[in-house]
Amino acid sequence: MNDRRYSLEEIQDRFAIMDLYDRQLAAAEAFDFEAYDTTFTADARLDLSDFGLSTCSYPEYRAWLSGLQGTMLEAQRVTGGLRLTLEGDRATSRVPVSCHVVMQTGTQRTLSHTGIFYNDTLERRAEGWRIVARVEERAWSGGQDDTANGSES
Amino acid sequence: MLTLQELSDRAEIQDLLVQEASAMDRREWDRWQTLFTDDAFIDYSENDGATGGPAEVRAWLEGVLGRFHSYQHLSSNAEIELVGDRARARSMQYIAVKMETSRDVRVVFSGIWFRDEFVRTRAGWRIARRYEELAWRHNFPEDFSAPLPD
Repeated sequence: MNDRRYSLEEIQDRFAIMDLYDRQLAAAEAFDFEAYDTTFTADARLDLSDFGLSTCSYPEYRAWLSGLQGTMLEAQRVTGGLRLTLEGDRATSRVPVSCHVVMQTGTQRTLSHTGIFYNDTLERRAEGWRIVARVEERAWSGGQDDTANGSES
Repeated sequence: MLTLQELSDRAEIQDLLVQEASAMDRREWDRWQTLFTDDAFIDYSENDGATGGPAEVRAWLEGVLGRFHSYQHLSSNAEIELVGDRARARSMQYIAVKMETSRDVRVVFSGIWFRDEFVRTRAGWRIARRYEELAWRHNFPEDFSAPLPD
């Protein structure tokens, strides 16, 4: 049976988009905004209403994330597969993310766990694929430990 | 080197694994069922789950997952082996579930492995056989047992 579903270009797009997420999540952990800027368009919109934040532009989100430096000591965002739909120069992607964060408030350190879905719209631009819109959907939350020293019981 | 046909097949099988997880999380049960061949055999017995065809297992899943507050399935580490119009894979799911227990509401985590067989059909690749291995559970209540089908 010869019924190849994906063209070479679609496979290239797929890898480029997977790379974009790997680059973005690594950049977020390192607060590397030069790399982070290569994943969203400057006019991208983010809807964070599930997390009690208002809808904002990418520069506003970037400033908010930047403000967490020094408080968000460690963060690891684990992804588990992109549900990707390619439509020429546009794509949509739903990405499940398990987010583990160590925060410092005063002398208190907490480790929290949250499940998020990124519901993204992407576009092919001259410089490559970029996210133009993101809706963050809360999957689950509430796992929190007051001791963030790695010896979770 | 992988041929374009093999790259496409791998991408399609990756999609199946991700869509299976995603369909559960979105409670898209019709969609979930179409990812399997009609005569597929699914065995969740090692994780206290149902065993049978896609329709039976779907009915069980719908009932069980409907009782949880919220949950999320992450799919990763797929090791795929293509053999013409058939394929095998071992892949991982990392699962978080927020559940109500007799004492509290808590988030529990577990890790499972799928051992799958796939077949290329006219409509695309489908899961023909799935065995679920339980790897680990964390924070489960001591008296936990998977709810039985109604």
